[in-house]
Amino acid sequence: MTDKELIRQINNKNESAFKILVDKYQELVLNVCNNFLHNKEDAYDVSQEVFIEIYKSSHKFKFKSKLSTWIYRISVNKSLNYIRNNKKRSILKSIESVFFDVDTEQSVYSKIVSEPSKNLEYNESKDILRKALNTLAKNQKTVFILNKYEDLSYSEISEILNISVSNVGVLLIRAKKKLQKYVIDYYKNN
Amino acid sequence: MKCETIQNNLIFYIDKELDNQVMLDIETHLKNCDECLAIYKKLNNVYGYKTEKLDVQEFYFSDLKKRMDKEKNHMFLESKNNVFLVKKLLVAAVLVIGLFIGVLMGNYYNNVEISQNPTEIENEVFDNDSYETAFLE
Ligand SMILES: [Zn+2]
Repeated sequence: MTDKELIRQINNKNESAFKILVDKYQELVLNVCNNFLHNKEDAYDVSQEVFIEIYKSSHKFKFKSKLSTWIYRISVNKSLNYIRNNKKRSILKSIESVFFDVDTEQSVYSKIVSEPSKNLEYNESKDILRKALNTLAKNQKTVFILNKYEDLSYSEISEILNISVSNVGVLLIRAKKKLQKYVIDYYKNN
Repeated sequence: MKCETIQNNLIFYIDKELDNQVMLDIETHLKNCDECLAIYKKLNNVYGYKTEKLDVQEFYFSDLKKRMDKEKNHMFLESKNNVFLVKKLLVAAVLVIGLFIGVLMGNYYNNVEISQNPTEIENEVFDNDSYETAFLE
């Protein structure tokens, strides 16, 4: 089935067509979200929100870009929204955890997939990278993640984010310089 | 090249985005400068970190379907989490208020009892024990 036919059938709320799309893009969406959120459970939740959004707004997709570009765009937006709201949510969660066993509310995913044990240095690297990424402006971070972790070209990124190719390049250089500074400062001060 | 210049370009060196000559200069510098080499190694570790790739899940679609059905049932509310949270916070508030009142009243009665007869509290412990054994029987 072509992407066009797939979207047409999803517009008609055809469940099996939707399942085909989910099966096809599940891995991509899950990993994009995880690259933004650095947390499997959150990535799983947000990835499902992405598909719900696709289902709800498939009629808005007019094939001016590739289907995958549109899916990337929704994944990026949902992940960024999640990060934006996360601060608020984490305050609520900490209140919640005082009174309740939060484990009971974990997603199915976290119950099935357990974190493999990693060495200390690996965890430290992960932690520093996450903190360094948090110092980046939203657009710098987005461009960086799409290029570095999704291996997307400048032109693909420019299409997803609706910015010029040269802008992608500028943002990427700024992101790398800022990351580099953060990591070097971190090590010099520790 | 100065150490500072080297350190400002290490990330582009790692990504092999510099001119050939600059790449070579940095390589040579790293062989001769322990400080820059140490920083290079640290940066390479952090920068080279890749999030673990997540695999396709069999239950993914059925889980998604469940979520969509739930969402339909809670359309007038923003999300199911909010409903849970509101409920939980309500329960928590009731508990806290209850606890607070309990403590207040407890203090009040204890104070009254202590002032009246300090040995009564000791007796109460034994009373509780006998009550418990009676209950078990
Ligand atoms: Zn040096």
